[in-house]
Amino acid sequence: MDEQQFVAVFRNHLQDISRYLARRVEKDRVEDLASDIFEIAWKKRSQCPSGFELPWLYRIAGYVLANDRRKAKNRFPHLPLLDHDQAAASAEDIALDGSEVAIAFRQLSDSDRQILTLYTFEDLSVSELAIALGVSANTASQKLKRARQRLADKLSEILSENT
Amino acid sequence: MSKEEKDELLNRLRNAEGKLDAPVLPEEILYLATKPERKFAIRKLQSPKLVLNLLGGAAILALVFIVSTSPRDTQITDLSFSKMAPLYDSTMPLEPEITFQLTEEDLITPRTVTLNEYGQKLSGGLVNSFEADIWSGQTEPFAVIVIADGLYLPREITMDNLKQLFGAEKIAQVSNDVSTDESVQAIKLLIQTDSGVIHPLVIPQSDGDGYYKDVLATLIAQSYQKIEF
Repeated sequence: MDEQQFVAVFRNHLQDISRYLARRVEKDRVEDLASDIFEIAWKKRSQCPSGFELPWLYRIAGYVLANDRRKAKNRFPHLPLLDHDQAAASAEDIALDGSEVAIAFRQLSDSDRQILTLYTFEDLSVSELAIALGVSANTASQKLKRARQRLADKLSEILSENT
Repeated sequence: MSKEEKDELLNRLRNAEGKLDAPVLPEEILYLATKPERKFAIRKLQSPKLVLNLLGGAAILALVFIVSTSPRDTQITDLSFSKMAPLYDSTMPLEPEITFQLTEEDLITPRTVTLNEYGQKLSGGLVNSFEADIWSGQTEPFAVIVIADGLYLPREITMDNLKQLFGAEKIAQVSNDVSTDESVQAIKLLIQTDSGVIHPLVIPQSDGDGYYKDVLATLIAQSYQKIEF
């Protein structure tokens, strides 16, 4: 893939990456981080699975984001900072309203929020989730199912408390 | 019918999102990405942080050099892998059969060994291709910690070594986090480079229980010691 092909393939995903980042970092960090993501994408372009360019970009974005958050904290990394879950939209980052489902979402774990965000807001399919998360399609499906169930359970708890 | 329309719950979640203020990214980003040296000059060379990073990196390099060259007994540990199940990535080798020796020099490596070479060696070739590619070209000094059901250090490296490298306060922080985190169910090889970049190799227990136990029984038992607090 030469420069022209690279630009042609990824041009359509610029705004997808912008939205992905805007859900997770301050607006003024979006362009810098996007620049890092596409630089890695260029270096690793030979590994990009054809037809799955966007979830592949999201996977790179997850690593870039995790490193950026770790640097921001400026301290020795510990467990919660070590895996891909750090790419999840945090409860503080994602702009949700005050509805019960939003409250339930905020109470989920990082990994549940991550997969639900990729599926719901980034609009990935299950096979694309698998690429973005670096797992098999079956595992992605199971993770999504469990995350959705936990969201439903949380929502039920909240609704029953309210009533 | 879209997947959101099929799922009322997720549709409600989607509708709960407020207006997203995402900036329009210029196409120039893509062109700059293909010329990283130009991007470096434009975006980073003007930053005073670069100077600080370089100074910090040099200081840590000097410290690593002192630690790794100071006289001490170097214990050699044999570590064998055979016929392991593939992990969660189809790009991994199916049946790595690697016998190797780890020395303290391996654990705090000089620049002659790349992170990829070292990671492959340490994990018995079970580093997925995506990770391996990211690790390629990383030649900065690094040390490795394993986290499974607790914090493990290589037998060849002492707490004193670690404290010298990262500071007692940071080690205490990690130790506390690990010992109190009930969600630790996976083996994680943490490789710290001198620029502060973390390269984790995560083996989720749920995605390969047999492999997890195999690694616990071999790599952990033979080469690492659990740290009690």
